[in-house]
Amino acid sequence: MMIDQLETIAAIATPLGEGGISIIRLSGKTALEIADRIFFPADMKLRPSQAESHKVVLGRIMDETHLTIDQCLYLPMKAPRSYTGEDVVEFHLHGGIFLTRKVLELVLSKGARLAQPGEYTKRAFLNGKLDLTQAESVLDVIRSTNDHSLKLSQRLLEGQLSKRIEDSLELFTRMLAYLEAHIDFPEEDIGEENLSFLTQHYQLVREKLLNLIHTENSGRWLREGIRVAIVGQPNVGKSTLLNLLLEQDRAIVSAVPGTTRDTIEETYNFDGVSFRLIDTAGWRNTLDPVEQIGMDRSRQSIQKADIVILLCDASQPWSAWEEEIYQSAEGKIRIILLNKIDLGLRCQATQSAHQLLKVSLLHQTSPIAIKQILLELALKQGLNVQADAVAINARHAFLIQECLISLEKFHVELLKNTPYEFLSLELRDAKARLSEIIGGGDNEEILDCLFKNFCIGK
Amino acid sequence: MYTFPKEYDVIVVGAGHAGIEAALAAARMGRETLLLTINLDTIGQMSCNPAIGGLAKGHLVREIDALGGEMGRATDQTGIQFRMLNMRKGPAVRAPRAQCDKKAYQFYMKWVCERTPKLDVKQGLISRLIVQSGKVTGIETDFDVKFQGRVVVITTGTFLRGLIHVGTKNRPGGRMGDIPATTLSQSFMDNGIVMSRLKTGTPPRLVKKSIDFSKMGIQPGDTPIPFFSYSTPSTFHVEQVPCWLTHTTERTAQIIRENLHLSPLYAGIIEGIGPRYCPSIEDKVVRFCDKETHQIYLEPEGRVTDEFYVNGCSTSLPFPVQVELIHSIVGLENADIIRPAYAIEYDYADPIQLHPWLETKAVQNLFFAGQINGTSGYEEAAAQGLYAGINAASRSRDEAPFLLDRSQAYLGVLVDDLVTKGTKEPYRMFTSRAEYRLVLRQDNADLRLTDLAHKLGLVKEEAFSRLMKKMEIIQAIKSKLGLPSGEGVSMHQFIRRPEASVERFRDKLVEAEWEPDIAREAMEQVDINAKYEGYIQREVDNIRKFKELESKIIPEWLNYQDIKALRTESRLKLKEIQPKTIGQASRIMGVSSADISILLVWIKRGKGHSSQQQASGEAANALGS
Repeated sequence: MMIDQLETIAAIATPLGEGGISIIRLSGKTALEIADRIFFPADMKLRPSQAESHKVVLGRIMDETHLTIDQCLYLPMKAPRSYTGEDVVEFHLHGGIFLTRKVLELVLSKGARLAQPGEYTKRAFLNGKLDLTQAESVLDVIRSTNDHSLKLSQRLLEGQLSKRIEDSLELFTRMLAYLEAHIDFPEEDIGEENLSFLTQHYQLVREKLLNLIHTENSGRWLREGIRVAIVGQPNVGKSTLLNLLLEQDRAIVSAVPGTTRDTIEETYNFDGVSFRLIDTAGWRNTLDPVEQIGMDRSRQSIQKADIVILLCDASQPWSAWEEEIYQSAEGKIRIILLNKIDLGLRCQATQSAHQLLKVSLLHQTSPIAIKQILLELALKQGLNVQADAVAINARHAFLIQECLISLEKFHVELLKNTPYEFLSLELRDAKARLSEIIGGGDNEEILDCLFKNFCIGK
Repeated sequence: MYTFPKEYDVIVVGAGHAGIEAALAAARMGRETLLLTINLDTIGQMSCNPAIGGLAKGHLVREIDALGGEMGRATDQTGIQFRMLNMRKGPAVRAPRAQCDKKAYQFYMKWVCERTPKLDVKQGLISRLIVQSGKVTGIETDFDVKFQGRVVVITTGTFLRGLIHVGTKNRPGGRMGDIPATTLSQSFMDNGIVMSRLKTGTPPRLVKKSIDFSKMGIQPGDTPIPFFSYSTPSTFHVEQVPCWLTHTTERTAQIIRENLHLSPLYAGIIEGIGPRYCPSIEDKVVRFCDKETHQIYLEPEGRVTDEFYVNGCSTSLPFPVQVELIHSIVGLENADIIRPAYAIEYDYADPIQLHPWLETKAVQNLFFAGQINGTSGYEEAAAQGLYAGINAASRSRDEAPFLLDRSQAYLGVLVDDLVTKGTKEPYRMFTSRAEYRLVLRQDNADLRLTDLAHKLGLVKEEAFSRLMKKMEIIQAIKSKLGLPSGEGVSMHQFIRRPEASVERFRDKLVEAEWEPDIAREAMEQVDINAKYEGYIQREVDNIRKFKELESKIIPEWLNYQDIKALRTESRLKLKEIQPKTIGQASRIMGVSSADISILLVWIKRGKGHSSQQQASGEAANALGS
């Protein structure tokens, strides 16, 4: 079957922010070509586009400067033997929101565009990968997928977000109306071209968008929970703390440690916010050696965490190991918990932690005090649990970032005195990205704004 | 009823800017054509300002010229002041504008129409259409003459049930001094076309001897003259006449505010919707009350008349208020109004009732162009006239329509906007409406369109060979650009600098035997393409994506009523507009990307369905049922 391949689309195919692996999937006519440009198989003779279909290849993803972004698995599924019927390639990465997004950005910079919700499925239908008798139900799926995601995003957009996006869009519209007025009506009495109008609006909209980006954490925290890593040397009481937080008093069954992907997570809710205790598999093993493995494992946990609890034995001195772990958690919310305070205090911990607690976990019967502290720290760090909370998801964040990139281009050109029609092009690009979040937007509203604000007419 | 013995291929009703281009195009394509007008003395009349061109409009005129239309040549031949606007901006948004000698323009157009082979020009007022089983076959005049034609193009301007307002008084008229067409609208409605009302207006005209120019700024024309037509040589000589710039005063605003109740618009007498970009002076004063003065241009109406057009002062206030108002303007303290300003209401048909080739959906072989489609402006009218004329000629030969899309021409943007979105106010072209404006420039209209027009038989051989020559020279210059500039980089790299000009290398690039005008234009193309390469490439990429959607044809069998998954609003819109392509469907207001996905699936499924049914039918036959 000959498939008429469309423009290449890309998306993160696994839930963002989850541990384990994440998959980036591309589909379309340049999927293989893009793979050739970013993926470098361990077998250096192999070109990704020439690799056998449906066979996994190990290699590295590198950016333009040949910097390795991640070691990963590459899985090509060539047309028509793929889900969409087009050339599809997948990159299986080592998880992590930052890394995943970086690879996605790389792929997009090579000419793919971000997939719309349900677009892979749509292509699958269009390419006859699904039985024709399913057509009706397929329509329902498309319809409901869209409606559902629409409802979801509407819910997400309730309160302040949609208003804040609209405010920013309105600023774009005003800037565009300004540009277009000066382009289309050079004979009119609408004032000289004025750099400060555009710079002021640029700064205003930039600030608004940056503020929005910063709410991403809050949104993710609310949706996915706040990730807490508990680290510490053997026998400092990690299991006790776990049991206390989870309010389980049954005996702990040690999970069998496997690779780093064998993550076990336990979740507890407090005041409507969920906290995810990550990588509990690792530190449930009381035989955890102090040596390198323990250090690596702790570091990996820290990397995934929003809050790091460093558990120490109060009766032992602050060690180099603890100092190093503590430093590696820079940028996270850091809590130092000095356990076994009943055995005396010999530990001189670093004082720069967000919170220093002295406890005796064995004698602690209620976890509420600790949970309260974790929640308060999260609130302090920007978690917003109000009803009108502005919280954006990863897709929104991505679009806002794209919008900001175009906005920056606009600003660079503005300072170079580039003619208005080119500035307009950059601004329209920026606005289009932002419009994708709430939909709509066309030229008419720019004209409306123009005629409202400028006295035009002969 | 007398039936005129000659049967026409194409009949054009109305000889304004749209009608002229429609009739000329049809006749030039070899069709027997009739052009009918209420008044032969007002062929090509500029009812409002004596100017052609400006932003986006100038682009349209250049395209009309590249496609073999007449407006560009007429403007060059009768222009009295020429300017290129936006010279400080990039090439895509520069546009020529000219003041014309109104009478000379009319005489030129009348003369061209009269001497064009296969074109008959006649005076007559049309009273109704003759329609037989959904197809137009001719028209009847008010003096009981029947003209038979295979295709009819309607370009009625403001004449359909025109109603002229000065103050709270009004009376029927197609234009001040001309009679309206009072019965034709009914004929359209009888055939299922919905008619609505629009409004426009024009300022007073003043006599020169009463104007004090010493208090005004002078605005001379540009040299060298930026002509509109590719066929006008730069050596063509024009004595240019200046325009004058002045402004209203605080007193003007006060007069308006005091008399607002006498304006038919504010008194609620006018029901038609006026253009936002062409507001009356009373509108400007009311809506922008913090603006103390408004600028006013005085434009000469010709060489052998002393009439001046008061640009910026369109009004429908009563005559005594107009006098007072004019006297409050700097330099017009003693000015004498020789024609009053007025507003006019007229019938139009929302253009979503048209196919993309400007034929009405309700009546076969009936085409609409110009203000009847809700547009405003001579240039917008002429462009549609040309388009309708070409398609009327094609239809009379039973040939496929000639279509231009949004990436090819402003004309494509104009027609697509009209038939896809419709309009509720007079539609004017702006460059911002053209999403690919960086490539739809006034400087490359010939490179974009002349070849197409040549295939249609619309342009003369000399225009086509000029184009071939120009393309050859562009290639010749490009092939030399890789050579060193003497500045350490190639000439190509050198001219990419914003401040550099290709003219610096004229000696190295231009050969002596080249025709100077063509060489200059070719050098300009090379310069623009080098300087804006990155931006142009971006547009070209976008155009490729656009073309993908545009090439997905919506099949005739698709019945929106069956597609329950579409939202009701989208289903109604799609049914009404009947887009021809997925691209067009996606531009309809209120049709979402989810709706488009559903359409794509249905189209795909429909194909399978029909072949499946066919297969099962065959199977049934084979079983001997």
